[in-house]
Amino acid sequence: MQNVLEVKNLKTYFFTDEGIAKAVDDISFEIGAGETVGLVGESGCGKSVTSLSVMRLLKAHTMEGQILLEGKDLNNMSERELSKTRGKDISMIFQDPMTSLDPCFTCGYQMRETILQHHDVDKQQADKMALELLKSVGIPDPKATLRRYPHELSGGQRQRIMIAMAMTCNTKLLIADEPTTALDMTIQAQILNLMRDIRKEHNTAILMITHDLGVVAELCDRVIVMYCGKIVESGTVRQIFHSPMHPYTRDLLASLPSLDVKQDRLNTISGVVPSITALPTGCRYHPRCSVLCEACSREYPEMIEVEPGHKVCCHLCERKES
Amino acid sequence: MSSAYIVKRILRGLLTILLAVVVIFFLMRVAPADPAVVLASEDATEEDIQAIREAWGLDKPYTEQFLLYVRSLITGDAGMSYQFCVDKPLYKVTELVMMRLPNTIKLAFTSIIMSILMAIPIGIVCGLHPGSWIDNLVTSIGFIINAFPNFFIGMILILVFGLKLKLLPTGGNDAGFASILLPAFTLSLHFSVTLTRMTRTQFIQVMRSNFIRTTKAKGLDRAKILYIHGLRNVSIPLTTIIGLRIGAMLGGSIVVETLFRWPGLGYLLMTSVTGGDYPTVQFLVPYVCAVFVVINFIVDMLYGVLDPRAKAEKKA
Repeated sequence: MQNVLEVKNLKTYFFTDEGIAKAVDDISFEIGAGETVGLVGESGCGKSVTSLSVMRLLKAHTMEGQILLEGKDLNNMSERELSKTRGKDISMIFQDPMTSLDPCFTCGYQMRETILQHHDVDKQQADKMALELLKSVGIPDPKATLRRYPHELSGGQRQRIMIAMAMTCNTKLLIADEPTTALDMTIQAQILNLMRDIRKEHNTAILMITHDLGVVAELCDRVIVMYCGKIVESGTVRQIFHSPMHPYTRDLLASLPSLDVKQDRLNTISGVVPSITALPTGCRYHPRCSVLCEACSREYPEMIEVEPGHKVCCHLCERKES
Repeated sequence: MSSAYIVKRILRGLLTILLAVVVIFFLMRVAPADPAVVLASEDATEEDIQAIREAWGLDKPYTEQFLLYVRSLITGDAGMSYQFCVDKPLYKVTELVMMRLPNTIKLAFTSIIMSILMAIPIGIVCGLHPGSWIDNLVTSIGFIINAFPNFFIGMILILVFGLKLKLLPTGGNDAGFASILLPAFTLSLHFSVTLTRMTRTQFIQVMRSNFIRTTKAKGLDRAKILYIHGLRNVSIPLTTIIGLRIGAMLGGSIVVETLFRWPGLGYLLMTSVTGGDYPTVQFLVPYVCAVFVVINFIVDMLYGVLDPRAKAEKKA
């Protein structure tokens, strides 16, 4: 499978009064064509910064590494080249559909300007395309919706508009930064279904940023688990959910409520996420980890591949000899 | 826009004007200038002054004077001005105001246009590069300008451009467009500082917003992001303060008009107050107040046009 996106040694640092915030610290991953990859982790683990870094939408003090979109390095592009790529080959939808559309313009205008930016068509044709796109994302009464302002629509409808706008060019990679977090449960399911349809129809690769493991299990092929700016484990959904290797992944899964076992209290991970400017030495999870070894506080473990496609970053995991 | 809302606004506006009417009526009568004394000649006797009082109805009880005043406002006939006359009045108040009003309007719009031309481009540059040397420079200059009162700025300008360089007239309204430049510029400076700061903050805020991030993510050109989405969103709060400023300026600027002997309403109000010209003051103040109320109303309407969300709120 050819990779749509290859991220190599991405580092995104911010200089703050408290010190250097290593929001994303030397991570590498790839996404294959048509693949849906879930990027999970607690709040503040760097998943949103990762997605915004890939889109080059951040003003970070340090941004190193390669972001190869079909071989072209986004991190080397000028603003001009970037605006040609964004919205065309790589698109993004955001967490908060309520504020992600310009309140001063109609949905139709905002759709049309996106289409005109990337397609060589006139206004009438652009409006026709916008109408088709709205139909394809399941907006009821698309014609009237084009004339409406964002505040006249519900959150779910706005997110549909965002998706329609992201799909103006049959984008190869869609980054979805917690697209359902701000929506209620039934709408969440509808939006996830919509994304599934889009993937099937256009063979779009999706990078799904979420803290909702349910969403991952439902939609994704592979999972990347982040903790404190680092990738701690990655593998297929099956590998991660059935044989998690990293203690953090295990604790994360154990904190999910279960329908089968009666629980009085939900499991939680003890301790708190360390401050991004004062990270612990060695493995960043060791202060909260339940299965420590002597090396954990001393040095950062290397990423090893325990089985094909299943990588983990922990001193206690050993390569399975095959 | 519901009709209930409009009715509410009109009632509130009328109440504001009524308050101004009451306050100015009594303030004038507490003020030390006695119009009869001012009108009378130097060697007038007590009887002469009393005669003037009776002629102008100033000997009547306050309640009656007040009712007459309110009636004059309703009929729009504000009577004769005490100014420019000793024996026989020369101008009706309304005539006097109509003569001066165009000058005030000219001055108001010229100065506001000057402010807009200066402040909005500078504000955008500062808003795009907050913390840069140019931003800091503009902020410092703004502080310096704000530290100087208008009359001081005006005098400096008269000294430099009027007396030293002899480029522009020092006052009056005889030299056509050239004579408006100095007073308009003087009036525009403080507002330019406010407008620059406002543009800057609003621009920073808008450029950080989620919807601007969306426009970047969908690959729009930087120019379109700035001048379509950025400016449009910034224009909403700016309209409010520019509108209110127009309101404030249509009453005339007492200090600057007096300094430049600019024959507008501010200058007229100044001479009327010092000359104890009751009818003119009593007409001008409610007028200024009404202009404020009306402009406020217009600004709110405009707000609804510019910001689709405001329209929806008022509908609901």
